[in-house]
Amino acid sequence: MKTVKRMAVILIVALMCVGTVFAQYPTRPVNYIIPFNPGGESDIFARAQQPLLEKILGQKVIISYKIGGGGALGWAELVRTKPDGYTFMGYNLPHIILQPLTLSNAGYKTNEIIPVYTFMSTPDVLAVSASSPFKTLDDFVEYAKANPGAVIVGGSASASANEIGLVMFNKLAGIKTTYIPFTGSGDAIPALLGGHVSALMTYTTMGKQYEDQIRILAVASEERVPSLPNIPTFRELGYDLVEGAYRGAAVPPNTPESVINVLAQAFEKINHDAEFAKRMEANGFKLEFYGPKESAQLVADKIKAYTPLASELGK
Amino acid sequence: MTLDILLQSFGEIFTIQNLLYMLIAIVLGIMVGALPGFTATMAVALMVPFTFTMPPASGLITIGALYCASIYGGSFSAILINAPGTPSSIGTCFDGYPMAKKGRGMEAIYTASIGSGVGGVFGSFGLLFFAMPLAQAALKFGPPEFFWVAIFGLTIISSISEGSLLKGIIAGFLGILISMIGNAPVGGDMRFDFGLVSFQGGVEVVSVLIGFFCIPEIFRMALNPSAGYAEEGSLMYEKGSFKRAFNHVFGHPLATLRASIIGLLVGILPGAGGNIANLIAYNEAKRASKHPETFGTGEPQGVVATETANNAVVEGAMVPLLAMGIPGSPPAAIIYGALLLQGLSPGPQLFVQNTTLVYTFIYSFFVANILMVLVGFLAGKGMYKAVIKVPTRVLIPSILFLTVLGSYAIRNNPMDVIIMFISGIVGYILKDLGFNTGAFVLGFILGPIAERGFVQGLLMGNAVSMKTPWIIFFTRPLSLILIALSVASAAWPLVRSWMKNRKNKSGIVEALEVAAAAGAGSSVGNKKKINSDYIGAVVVFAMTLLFYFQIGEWSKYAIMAPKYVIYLIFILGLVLLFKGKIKPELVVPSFLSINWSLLFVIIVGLLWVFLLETIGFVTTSIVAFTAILIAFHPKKDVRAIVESLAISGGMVFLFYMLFEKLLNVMLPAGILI
Repeated sequence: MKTVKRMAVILIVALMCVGTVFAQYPTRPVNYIIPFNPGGESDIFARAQQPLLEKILGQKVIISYKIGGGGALGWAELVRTKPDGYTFMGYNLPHIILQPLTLSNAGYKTNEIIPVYTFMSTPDVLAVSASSPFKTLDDFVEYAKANPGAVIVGGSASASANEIGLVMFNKLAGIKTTYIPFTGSGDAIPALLGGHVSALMTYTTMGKQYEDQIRILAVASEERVPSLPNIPTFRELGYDLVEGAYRGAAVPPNTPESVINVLAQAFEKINHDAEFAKRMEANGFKLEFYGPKESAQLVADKIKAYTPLASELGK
Repeated sequence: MTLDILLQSFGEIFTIQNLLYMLIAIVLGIMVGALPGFTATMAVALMVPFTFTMPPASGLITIGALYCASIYGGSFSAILINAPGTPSSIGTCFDGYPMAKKGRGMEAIYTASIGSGVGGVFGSFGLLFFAMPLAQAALKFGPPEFFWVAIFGLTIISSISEGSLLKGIIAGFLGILISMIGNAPVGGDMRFDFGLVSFQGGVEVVSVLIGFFCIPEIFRMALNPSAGYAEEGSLMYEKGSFKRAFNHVFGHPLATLRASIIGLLVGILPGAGGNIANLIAYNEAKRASKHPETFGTGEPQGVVATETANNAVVEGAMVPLLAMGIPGSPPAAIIYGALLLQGLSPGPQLFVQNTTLVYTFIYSFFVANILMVLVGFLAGKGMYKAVIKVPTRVLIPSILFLTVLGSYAIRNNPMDVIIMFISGIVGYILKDLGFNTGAFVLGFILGPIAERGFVQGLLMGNAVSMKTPWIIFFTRPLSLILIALSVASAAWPLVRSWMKNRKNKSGIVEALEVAAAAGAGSSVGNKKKINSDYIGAVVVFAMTLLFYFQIGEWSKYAIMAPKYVIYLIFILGLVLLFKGKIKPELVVPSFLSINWSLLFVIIVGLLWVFLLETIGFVTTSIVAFTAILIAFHPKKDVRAIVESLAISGGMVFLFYMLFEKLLNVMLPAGILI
């Protein structure tokens, strides 16, 4: 009985493998899983991609959520999912690097998350409330130098692009600040507007969204972002800080290359859609165009940059 | 605002198309809300993609109506099967379910409906007239204030733990401890995961709620599967339900107003929502009542308070969203995302740029809340009739099936189903030992808010003074007000009982009471009594040790709160041990007497939840469902088996199609299906 069953399972699996090779992927609905809360950056972007993705793939795209552990729960499941391309998941940098680095039990390894495409980023911005005495980045640095630890900077989560961005900036500017992690970038905004923190290290999306109520001192991108044309980069102001969160889609290890390419092309095509691009950029997202290989290189570069800093997080 | 805009905005709502959208959203919302495990957040998230094809106003109206209706729908399952359909209806279980058991289910549903409508309309007024100042005030709440808000919420324990205050407090702290499983709010360390990846997301509150409230009821039904749903002969109370319900809400205008205000204010606070508002409102209603002892036994005012408050929360959550662009609740966060994708940025500028749209959205809440109640009367009546007509032996597996489905659907995590059922068993035992499960849930919900406020507050305090960072909790004016409120709230039940004792309790009355208690004890005297304090203390020590040895090399701020909580529980356990020595609480625990039908349900349930992932949802559900049906069928012939298979197959198929195909919840496939 056992052997019969085993044989049957092997046969079915074999047939499925053959099926996926011969039939043109995808032949049935695909699952796009977001390992974060609905309403966040990953979700907003995925919801905008959904109709276009359905048109390109010719199949229904089902978005669902696997929330927990700052994404870790979802990614731990992704690496155990059948690698047939019918389930792919949003992936985030620096999360997939910092979690296995700082946690003893993240449930996955960074190299088990196979990026298909990295389609957008949200660079860090340093922002203060509109009524803050800090008018420029220099004001901020000057005060922080004179009062070590007294400047409170809020941000989204621990071991995030916000925290690591602040750690890097503290080093570059030779200052000491107090970081307070909030549950998400949205949760940190009321703390700034209510005056409970002196500044936020947050993302361009938030900066754009609350443009009228906050003052952005600098943006941590290589060049100025289109949605915030008047905001100088840290580099312009003399600090070599380029940091932010990158987001894309990923599949489990051993996913066939042909499947990865279909998905990668689809995501690339969506990013080139003029109307889509305009809408996303207006919300502060920076579109990125990293294919499977370029994404892998991006991850490798970031691992090098983050590893020495990991021990300074959560201090 | 000019009259022009008012008329134009109102006109927008009353188009056939928009009214139709609203109606569909309301029907869907009530259905989804009534399913335990399916929350308003999920309903709104599912609806959002559909709204992209609509004009912005229609999309917003639809989502708004859906949000209101799903919160309201949660009251149905709370009343009928003691399972809060959403966490906003926890308190509704306390009195709604006892009402239903006493044959007053229809009255409870009407009461919840009218209360919800009134709360919603009140909230809409608040949103319309005071959005800006209220949102500004909410910003004054920083981390220290949120800590005190959570503490204030925890003081409710003192009034809901009827029997033993000490055990209530312990239950509350155990709830806080369990809530610490998963990511630390500061530091991000993975805490208490017991080496299991599934625990990384923490313990899901909805699973615990369903387990604690609904599963013990299933067990009680299993003790006597041939009994009717409501108490014998009590259904005659159905007559005049509506009139009485109307009276419950409008006959006590001050109580209703109080609950509405609580709902609105809590809703405005970002990070606090209906789950907290309904409990605070319940507590305040009980505190203000002339007969607080009736609360928990089927007091309609309890239902009015929770349901009025939770629907006022909906509009409250819209206040910071529309006024400042800050989402005040998880569903509001999704609405925020939907607005962004429509090309609209919520916030003060939205009022200026899209005045008509914003006011259309606000006015639509008035219409939605009224329409919702009308639809709800019909839906509620239908559900009520279904529940009382279905024999208990069929109700048992049906409700169990819904709890399995719901606890899975909430996060697509099979571990949540296991936790749901285990907490059901634990809840059943704890209640017998005199531990209040409501207190546990309160700690579980408020624990994360308290901890986050505490460590974030300490970090803020560090920036002021490294030596005494904690001083920040006592220096801010708003914090001081909240401290005073907390002290008053914690002390009130004690003061009350002291005053009562002094006023009318002579020595004789007390002596009689003691005698009565002794008499009650002697009637079951032949059964073995156990000292529940000793057993409770053993449980407490086991828990603290289990968690203590899970503490790893976490960062400073991740380890702080769990350590304090563990020490505190340990000390409380010692106190309990001491109390058990000098003034023991003796109980006859029902779980010690073996009841075969209960044991059968427990074993089937355990197999079901543990095999769900490996074998598959459909197979396990049909097998377990059929097994219970056959076991409790009065006849054991072929017809009974065929009938049982048909019922279970039909139910499972129906919900499988609904979830897998319509709601896009992927159910575990396993080896079979």
